[in-house]
Amino acid sequence: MLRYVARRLLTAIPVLWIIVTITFFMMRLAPGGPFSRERVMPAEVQKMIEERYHLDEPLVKQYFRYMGNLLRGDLGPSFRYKDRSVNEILAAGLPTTLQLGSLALLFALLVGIPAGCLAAFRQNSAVDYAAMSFSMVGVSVPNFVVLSTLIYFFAVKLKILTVSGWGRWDQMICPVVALGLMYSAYIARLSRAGMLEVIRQDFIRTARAKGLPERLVIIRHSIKAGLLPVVSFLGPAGAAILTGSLIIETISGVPGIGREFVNSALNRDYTLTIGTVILYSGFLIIFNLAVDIVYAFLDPRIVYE
Amino acid sequence: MTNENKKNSAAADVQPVKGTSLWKDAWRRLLKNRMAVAGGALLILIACAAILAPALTPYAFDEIHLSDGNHPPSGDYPLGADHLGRDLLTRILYGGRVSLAVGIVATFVSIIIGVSYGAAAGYLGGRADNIMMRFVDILYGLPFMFLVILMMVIFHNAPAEKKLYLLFIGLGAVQWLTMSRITRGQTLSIKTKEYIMAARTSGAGAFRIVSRHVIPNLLGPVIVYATLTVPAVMLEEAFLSFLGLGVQAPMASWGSLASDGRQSLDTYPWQMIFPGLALAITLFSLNFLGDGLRDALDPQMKDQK
Amino acid sequence: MMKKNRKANGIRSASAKLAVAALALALLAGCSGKPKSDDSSGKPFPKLQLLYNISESHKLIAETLQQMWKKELGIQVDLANVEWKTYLKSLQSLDYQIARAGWIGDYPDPNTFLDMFVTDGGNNQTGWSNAEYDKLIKAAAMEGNADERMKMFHDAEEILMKEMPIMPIYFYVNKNLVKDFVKGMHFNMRDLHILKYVYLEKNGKVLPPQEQAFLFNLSAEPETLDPGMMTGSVEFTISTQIFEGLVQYDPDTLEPIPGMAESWEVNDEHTEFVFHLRRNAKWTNGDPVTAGDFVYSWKRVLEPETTAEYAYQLFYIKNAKKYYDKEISDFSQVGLKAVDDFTLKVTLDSPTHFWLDLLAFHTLMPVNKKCVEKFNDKWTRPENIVTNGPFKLTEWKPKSKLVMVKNPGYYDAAKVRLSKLVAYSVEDNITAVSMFEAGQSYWVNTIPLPYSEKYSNDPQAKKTDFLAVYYYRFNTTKEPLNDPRVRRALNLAINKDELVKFVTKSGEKTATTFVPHMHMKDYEPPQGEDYNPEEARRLLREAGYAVKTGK
Repeated sequence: MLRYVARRLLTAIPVLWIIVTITFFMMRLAPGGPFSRERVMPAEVQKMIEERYHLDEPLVKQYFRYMGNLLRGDLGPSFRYKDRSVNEILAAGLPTTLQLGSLALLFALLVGIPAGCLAAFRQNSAVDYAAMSFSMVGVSVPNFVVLSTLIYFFAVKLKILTVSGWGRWDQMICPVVALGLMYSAYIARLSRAGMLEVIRQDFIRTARAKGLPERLVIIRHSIKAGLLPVVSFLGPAGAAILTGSLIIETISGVPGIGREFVNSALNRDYTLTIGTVILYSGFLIIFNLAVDIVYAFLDPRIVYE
Repeated sequence: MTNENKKNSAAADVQPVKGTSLWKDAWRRLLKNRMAVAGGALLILIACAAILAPALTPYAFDEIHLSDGNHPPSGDYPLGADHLGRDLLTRILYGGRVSLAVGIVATFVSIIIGVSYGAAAGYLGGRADNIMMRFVDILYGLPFMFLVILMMVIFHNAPAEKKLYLLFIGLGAVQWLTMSRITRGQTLSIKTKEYIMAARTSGAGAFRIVSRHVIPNLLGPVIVYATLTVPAVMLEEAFLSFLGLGVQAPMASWGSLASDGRQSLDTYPWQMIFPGLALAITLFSLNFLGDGLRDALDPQMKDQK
Repeated sequence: MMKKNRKANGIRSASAKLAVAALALALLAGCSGKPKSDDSSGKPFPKLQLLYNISESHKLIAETLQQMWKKELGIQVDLANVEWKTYLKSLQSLDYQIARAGWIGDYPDPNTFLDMFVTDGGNNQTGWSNAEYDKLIKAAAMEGNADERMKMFHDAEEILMKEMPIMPIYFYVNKNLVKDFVKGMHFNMRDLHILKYVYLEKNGKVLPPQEQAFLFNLSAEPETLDPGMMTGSVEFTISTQIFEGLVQYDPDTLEPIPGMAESWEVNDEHTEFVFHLRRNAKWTNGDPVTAGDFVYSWKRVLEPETTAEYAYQLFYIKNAKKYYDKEISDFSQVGLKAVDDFTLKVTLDSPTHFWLDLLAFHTLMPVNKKCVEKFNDKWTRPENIVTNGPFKLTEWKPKSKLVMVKNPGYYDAAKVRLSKLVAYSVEDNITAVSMFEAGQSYWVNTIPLPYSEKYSNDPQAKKTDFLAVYYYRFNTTKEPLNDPRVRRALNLAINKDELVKFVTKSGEKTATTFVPHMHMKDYEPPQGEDYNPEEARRLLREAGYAVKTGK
């Protein structure tokens, strides 16, 4: 198992390298640079600044300079936020984004799993349809619509929640629900499908036939196996919360790094962009690995060599 | 338009593959699922409305009536008008064409890439399979949505129609990975079936085996996954629209209409509600149809996003 | 390979799907109509492309122009929205045909609007060049007689309007939303807000100091709090509250009034300034603000290593540019000298009539040497920062908020009534208005379009003319827009009154000329051309194009 984990982490290195390289060069393909402004500055000022940030060097040289710094753990200065380094910006925003993401996932699990299980045990009944319809709202309505509506009613009209910001519960409810709703829909469907499959299997029938009470059958036998698909979904979802929160963070004024993902690219803040991309990919790799490990615990049939 | 055909095509598939009662069984199971049937019927209705848009409305999609700006729903404007006095119903009907086209074409792109890649990996097996799937693992670590955004930025100069193709290809490329995994898994299991062995011993080439036997048997899961991919793509298009990187004005999609309308939630709520509803109803139907198809065609299938 | 497989097998679903895709594409293609031409007397007008940066209001205006041109002239225009940096790049490399633009003046003088269109001016970006125009602008800069100077600008703008490399649309309006209990807000033509004059009042009574907390939205995260490094208005809003230059602006007229300098003398040529600093001005660390602080701060901006993007704002000082370009290395040759602790002498290259205005600008605000040298790139952190303005920074939560409190050591502290400022950096316009409506902020500096009717008669909405113009650029280097008749025709076909009334909806004044003349009492603008579709069609025909109206 340990060897397996080590090997997976080792393969992550080339993956990250490829991603950094692609992002580095793709960013430079985008027109304009970090210092292009509406008011054109005199050529000599432009030149001095580019020299200072090494933007005048051949791209390959810049690339190796960047990779060199990266190996030392230095993501460089932000081109836009001149008072901060990329390391600082990411360190400041990450906890908020993670908090938002994990609360959203928690919400999604609390809503999604019961809805999915309920639906599975009463397949094709009104309960099934109701549970699935409710959970489907999340994947059918864009999250900016959900969030705007929540804010409008609860914060602007009823004034029981706060419009924007992060930290207090009355600021966190709207963004968490809006972000979590989508995941709850996926989770509900996955757990429904997973449960359906398990219910049909022999060992459940056997358990039922043995006369075990229904509730016990459900808890002891089906849930653990039926939720495997949910677990595997949590990997990509865990990483997606970093990027998926872009809209949510923008509308709700949450100071996370989700919006940096796109904004830094639009600002041509090269270093910050690569920094967020590394973070995202790193999380994706770690989450996927974690899922595989959890999988092994849940399903003893799987063996990692 | 397109969804109607899509559904018909799904139905059409039932006939040619004979020899097993699987397809007929599936069809019967699908018809039993009331929500799936309702979803399919709604989709046909919506698609027809989008196709017949020019006949259904007296306005052009970009026709402005400045003095009727923000007109509430009324006889002249059944769903109200937008800021420039454009009929919202017309905008939604035409926007449906864009949204549905993006959903379907991008899904089609993902099917082409994903199925060919997955089938090849699964059929070749062994080392080739190992390498190909490792490659997919690597790509899973890539922030695809971010790359799509970068692509939209880099190819900014493309004319409106070409930008749409970019959208198709970009969003399709985001989705092909899961498709390829599903295909590979199916191919691996099909490969070991007796009729493949029989074909092989009778001297059929790899190409013939894949095209004659493997791919037709993949259709079930692929169709199911496709119905789930369409909504995902449509939401991604809405996300791009929120960033202003989606379809080019004055063309609109449901996503861009809802995103614009979000700003008017307080003052002219119909501008968000109706496009949001159009999107929600469509995705709702697609999701129910997709779930129904999965239940019907392949109850064993799992691990979908 | 896969396609072949599919074909070979004749899988119906695959071909059906292809057909669906093709159908979808065909339908989409049908969305964009083809230009029609039935007038054989000229060549058909080519399709144009209009570039704008992503924004709801730019989009709506572009869509309106597109329809107006189609209706009046039968011209097809494709819209192209691009994000900001791409937009800037396209303008600078003349990689566009028509592009939306806006220009905010630095001071109420035609020069700040007209000098950008001289040949090869960095902000020209139209490819337009006119020798006579260049001559007039140059002569105006040298002219001592104010009336003569204005006459030259008048003539220059006349040329600009006749040749029309740019098409003015309207003059901007500042749209601020302010709660009624907020008093002492001043609204001026540059939308600069000096919050030391603000106070809160309830039921006709000024609130006690502990309740004097002013919450407002900054609309973005400041890029930096180092005044020398700043480039934008968001940053300027903060630096105005925590720093103070030699002079400051009168909150209404924006005339320079004493700031760190109590008084000053100017020589007759307007090239030599002697500033007398007030002796009771202190940094927040207790040190007095001295002439040496200004020499240090300006020298710092002029060091290329500082990478101050606005360093060129100091190039008016004698030899400053040479120092920046490293042509001279001895700073004592630069026209900047601390005669003693409280006397600063500045020598300029040539008479610069807006030099005093510039002194209140963030680039020229002083920074504290001890603080900067001790903390280096971390000197702007709230725990390190040393400032000299009416407020001091106590908290900076990136992308969330900045908190400033009253600076008790400020020389005019007795008159500052607010005890606390909270500046939120919420980017989303709608969220910002929602916060205002929910009472979580007292001031928003913009009213989004969907709210313009809601607030059209609301006393909380404060609208004032802005020293800025919304216009379109034409790329004059390429067919068909290299013909001034075509450019004028496009201008004449636009009903700007309708546009302002129904699209922008905030009482903007239509612009038939470029300079926002209402802010310049001595300036007489040339006669501009009003909406005249008939004349527009005539001009197009004259230029050799077939005209077919969309109606």
